[in-house]
Amino acid sequence: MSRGYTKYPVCGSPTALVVQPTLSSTWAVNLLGVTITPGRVLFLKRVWLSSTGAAAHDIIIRDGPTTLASAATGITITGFPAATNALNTGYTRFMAHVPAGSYAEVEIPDPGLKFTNWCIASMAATAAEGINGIGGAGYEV
Amino acid sequence: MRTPWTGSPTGVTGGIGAAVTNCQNMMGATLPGGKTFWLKYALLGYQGAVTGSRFFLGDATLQGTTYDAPRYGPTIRVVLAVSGGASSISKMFKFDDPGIKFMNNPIICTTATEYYAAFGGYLE
Repeated sequence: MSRGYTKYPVCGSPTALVVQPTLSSTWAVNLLGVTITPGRVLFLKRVWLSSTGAAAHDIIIRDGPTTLASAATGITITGFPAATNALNTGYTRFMAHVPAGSYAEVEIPDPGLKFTNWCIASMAATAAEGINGIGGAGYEV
Repeated sequence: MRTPWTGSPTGVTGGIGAAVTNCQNMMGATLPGGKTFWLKYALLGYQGAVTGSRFFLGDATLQGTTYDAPRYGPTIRVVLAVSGGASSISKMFKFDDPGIKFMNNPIICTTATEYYAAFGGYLE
């Protein structure tokens, strides 16, 4: 079946693991390590998370209202939940629950989940033990 | 020709009220005229204890946040149940090709007051 569009892999560096033990409700990481190419949108296909801590975590993945300024792996956000922060309203995409001391992978079926400006991850609540590894992969259209 | 849904956003979040008559457009926009939307997946999550909640996905002709009990009418396309017990949960529902068909406004209703829901599919 003809799909009528071209997929461009997101091949920045890194597209994989971002070690961020300080992930919290006010500190997010750029999941892909690169910015979304201007004029294109990102379709996220996969997210992987690992936590060696003793507590389970709820990871929030979101887009944003403006283009991420750089490929920096960390960005300050105002907080959680959505009621307290306009950045969150309408831009949160999903929540991934990671059981304590385990590895979780979210595989998103075609066509993926669309992101226009950012693809960042934060934690629903600040915890003493953070996520030890997080990464994502996808393609641009 | 199939193209990815490019409406914005493709995810919806949060407290929409504890009534199934208070719904949101799951794709954040109405369908372009003459187009059909094929839903391919729904990624649903709750934070906190979840004893059991249901999501109603419907195809409504009216665009807005309030509908007349769409779960009782022919507009309902699928009901998805999520249960996490004492902890949070995130769950992926996949729909084999060609997906679930929507011709009007793809809406989501739930009895939960706070949830996370992301959707994806194709326009044709």
